[in-house]
Amino acid sequence: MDPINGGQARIMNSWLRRWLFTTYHKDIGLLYFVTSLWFGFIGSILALLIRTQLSVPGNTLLSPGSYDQAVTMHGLIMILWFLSPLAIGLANYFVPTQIGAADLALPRLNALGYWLYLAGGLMAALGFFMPGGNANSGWTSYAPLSSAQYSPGPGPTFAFAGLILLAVSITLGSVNFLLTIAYLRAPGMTFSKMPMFTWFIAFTMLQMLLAFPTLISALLMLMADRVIGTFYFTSSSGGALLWDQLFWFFGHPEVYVVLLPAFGVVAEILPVFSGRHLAERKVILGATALIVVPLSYLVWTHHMFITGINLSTQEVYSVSTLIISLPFDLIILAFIGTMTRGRISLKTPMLFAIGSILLFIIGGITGVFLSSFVLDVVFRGTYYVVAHFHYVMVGAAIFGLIGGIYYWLPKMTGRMYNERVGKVHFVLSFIGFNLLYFPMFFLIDMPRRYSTYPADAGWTGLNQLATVGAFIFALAQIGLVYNLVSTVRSGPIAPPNPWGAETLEWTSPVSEQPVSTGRDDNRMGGSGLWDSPLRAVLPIGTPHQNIGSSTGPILGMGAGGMPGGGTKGDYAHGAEHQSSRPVSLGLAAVVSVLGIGLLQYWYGLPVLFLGGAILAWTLVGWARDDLHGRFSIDELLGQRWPFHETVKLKLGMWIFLTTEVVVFGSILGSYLFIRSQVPYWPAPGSIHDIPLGLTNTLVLLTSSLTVVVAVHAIREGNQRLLLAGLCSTFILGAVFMGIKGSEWYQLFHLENAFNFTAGLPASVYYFTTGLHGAHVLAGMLVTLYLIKRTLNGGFSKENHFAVENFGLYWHFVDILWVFIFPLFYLI
Amino acid sequence: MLGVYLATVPPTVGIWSSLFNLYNVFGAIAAILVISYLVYNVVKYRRREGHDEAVEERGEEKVNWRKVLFTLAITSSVLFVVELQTFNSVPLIVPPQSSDPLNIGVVGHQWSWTFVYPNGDRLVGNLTVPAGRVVILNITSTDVTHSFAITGLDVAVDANAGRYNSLWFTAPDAGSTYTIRCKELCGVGHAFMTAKMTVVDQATFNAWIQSTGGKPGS
Ligand code: HEM
Ligand SMILES: [Cu+2]
Ligand SMILES: [Cu+2]
Repeated sequence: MDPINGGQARIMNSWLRRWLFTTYHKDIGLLYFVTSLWFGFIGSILALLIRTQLSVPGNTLLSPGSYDQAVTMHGLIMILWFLSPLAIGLANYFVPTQIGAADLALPRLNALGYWLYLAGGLMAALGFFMPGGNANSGWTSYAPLSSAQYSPGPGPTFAFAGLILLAVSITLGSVNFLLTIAYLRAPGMTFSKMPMFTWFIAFTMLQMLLAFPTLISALLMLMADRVIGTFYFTSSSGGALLWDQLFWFFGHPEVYVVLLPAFGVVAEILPVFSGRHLAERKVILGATALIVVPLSYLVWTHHMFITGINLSTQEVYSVSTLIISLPFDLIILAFIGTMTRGRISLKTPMLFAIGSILLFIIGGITGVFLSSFVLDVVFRGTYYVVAHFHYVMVGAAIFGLIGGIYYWLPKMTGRMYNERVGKVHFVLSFIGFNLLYFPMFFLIDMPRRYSTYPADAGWTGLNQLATVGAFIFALAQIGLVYNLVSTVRSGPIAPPNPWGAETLEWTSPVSEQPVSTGRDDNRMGGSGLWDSPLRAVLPIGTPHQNIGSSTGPILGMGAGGMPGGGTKGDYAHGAEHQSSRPVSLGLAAVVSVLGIGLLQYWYGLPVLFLGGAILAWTLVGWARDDLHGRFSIDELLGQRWPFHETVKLKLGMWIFLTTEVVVFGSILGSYLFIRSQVPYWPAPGSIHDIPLGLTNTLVLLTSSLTVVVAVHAIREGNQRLLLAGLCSTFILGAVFMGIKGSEWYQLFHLENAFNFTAGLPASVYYFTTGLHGAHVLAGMLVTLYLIKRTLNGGFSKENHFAVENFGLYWHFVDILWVFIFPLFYLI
Repeated sequence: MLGVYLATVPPTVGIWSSLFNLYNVFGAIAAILVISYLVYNVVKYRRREGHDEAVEERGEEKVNWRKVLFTLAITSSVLFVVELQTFNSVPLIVPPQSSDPLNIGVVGHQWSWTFVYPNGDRLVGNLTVPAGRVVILNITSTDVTHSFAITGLDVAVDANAGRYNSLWFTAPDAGSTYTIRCKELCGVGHAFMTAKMTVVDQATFNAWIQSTGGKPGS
């Protein structure tokens, strides 16, 4: 064999392995970063199509159908596949380094998050190529326009399924980040010293944790409507309003989800480039933690002022919306105050940060206008709203994040970007942006999502200004692309801490390799550089080296691991740090969603089965990896300090269960909403067999007892009793599922078949008990794994956190049933 | 002169635009103040060439509570004033007590508006109302969600299947016409889901409604 080609093939192979199988936070950060920019590019093309279409009245460049798809997917892609993931990319790269952690708490989960994000995005994009096109009901996907009746075809199904994958990815990510920030901070990195970017990512993750599960529930119900014909959102008994409520309960916190990371970036950049400390740091943190985060769940109805909700509801939500603008007021004034008496250096990152603040001022003030439910009668559904939220989402959020890209580029690449190009990029972006969106504040009578407009409406001039602005703004982004490419290729070598920043990430080496801390507990050194009163300026010059040691073993792999900070191309050595399971789960997701979307064709079902098979194969593989210790970095890095490992993993489980509570909270809330709207409901006992249901409840509750026995057994080190407990739990679970199955079977064969499409009561019953059943089934699979591991002697008095965590999960599933049973059988 | 002008402004427009003006005044002042503060800081404290950069004073980390409370006080009083005026503008949404309102049903469907008169007449795409009278529209939909808006009268409300929402207005001038639009994406015809509203005097209205077979609205 040709040795050169062979060598190249090997390099290629290791390159592929690195990017497909990596679980290392910096690599995943880069993957998110690059992928989100690509989605941003797709979203921008759609935006330019929209603006071109609206440049002249009566334009026929896009048909109304294509226009609706363009608007819908532009919104979805920009918010969910570009803006948030860009922030997650930066967070992946810099949060661990800012707090001195070697990686995120659960690296494989992090990789899985990325692959689900990509899988979802691919499915959403695929919708464009389906007969009938992509989703076309607006990014808000209002029902019943988004139902199978009004948006038929596989395209919208792909898009909604893609959204579910994305929402799952984000939920997993939020569990992971919260766990990391809670437990993996280096010694001495107290909350009061934690960098602002990390703080704001923590807030963002907290918001995601409570908001996205609602979206998951809503989308699952929508998919059930579309695929198996339930009636959640298609009934005229409040279906449309139910969607509004669920969507905006997610949707309003989501606007802070996109905004807060940018605030975090701005809060890093401002002090560094003003040569001062951040003013009123405690006020900023306090205002965000105490007002923005909690109150964001109590303002969603301001999106529904003209849906016909009653007056007092409008008044309450109008006031709560005003209250939430107060903390932003404090934050902005603190940001500006930071510059006072500073020595402001107007480098590109600072320019974008200042731009972000300035544009947020306009976006925020117009938000106050929108909070007036009387003014909103006219604003709602017009270009005024479009102008407002672009000032916030593009102006504040994207400008801030671009500032972050310039700020951290020298750290990510080790090279310096071109300052002049950066400045031109900023100036053109700023001019283009304002030309694009400011005119829209005057289009108060032009409804949004109009595919075209007549010449006599008087909207032409303003639309043309906006279109010119759009092209200037788009062309300006060539500056960003140029700077990214040329910096990586040929930028001059950057000093290790070019801005004289004080945060920890600037002391870590520029390296694409996982590096070790050389400490048992995988924390970056504890020398307390940030400990001095002013978090003293780091000794410039040294930071290309890790603070601890860059030659120690990797990430808890122990001696004999990969040489830290090794040369490029060595990556294959880090095989223990790689896992093929996350990408394989992503593939399973893609194939399954393909199958679901294509169920109307004969080949849909086989494809779905194939997806299921890949899923099963991967899960078995993942379990075997664990049984054989193949993925050998400790998943919770630094388990030894200062808590007992179980405590931490339990926290992870609790955070996860919080999302589950929100998922089922939304679903049971929907049930109550529907009951309040529907005039007729079958009397208790008339359809469901109460004694049978009661028996099943007892079966499930008994299984909680057997789990308690199992957990207690292994706490005492009694493996036999553990095995007995687990086996009985499995059997009781199976009995529960068996009874459930026979109930469903009987209902289906009633005289008036009570099946999926038998009306709202049936829809709600099957969906809720079905999802609960799926949770029981998942629990049973985990039990199997635990049984196998017990047989292998995998648990002991000291090492049994998996059992403890499973116990929590199982109790949750049982308690859930205690709520479901009376709601569906007794009242 | 001014009196004549005011008399012909529809009441809903009067309420909405004076509220909007109030918000604009406070909004513009706030924006100008805060943005000037920002720009002033940037210009004043910009690092100059040749300026001594060596020693940098990084400033205090202490919270200036007085400043915080002052900011909160100012902002909340402004917000209080404008919100109070919003609450006073509720008559835009709530129909006035009128001895003699004209009730008309509106049904939205993909992609047109049907108007149902008290006499049972159904007209597609054309709404005729008498000048100077309180008109109450009861709006619903037979399919997806639409949003009914009359451009130039500053009124709007959603049209949902299985549910009636209402709005009211009075159009002062006979002979004027308005465009009705849909403000909620409702499918490919969304941009074309318009209707025309014609204002006629009460006598013409009565004659017209009789000619279409029914008796004048009650
Ligand atoms: C100062 C704080 C803010 C206030 C008082 C505010 C208020 C409002 C109100 C009342 C609406 C509803 C308009 C309507 O129903 O027609 C709205 C819409 C919207 N806002 Fe904000 N907002 C604020 C900040 C933000 C932020 C920070 C973001 C994003 C990061 C944002 C994004 C949006 C979006 C996307 C919509 C459009 C929803 C739709 O599709 O109808 N807003 N805002
Ligand atoms: Cu909102
Ligand atoms: Cu419409």
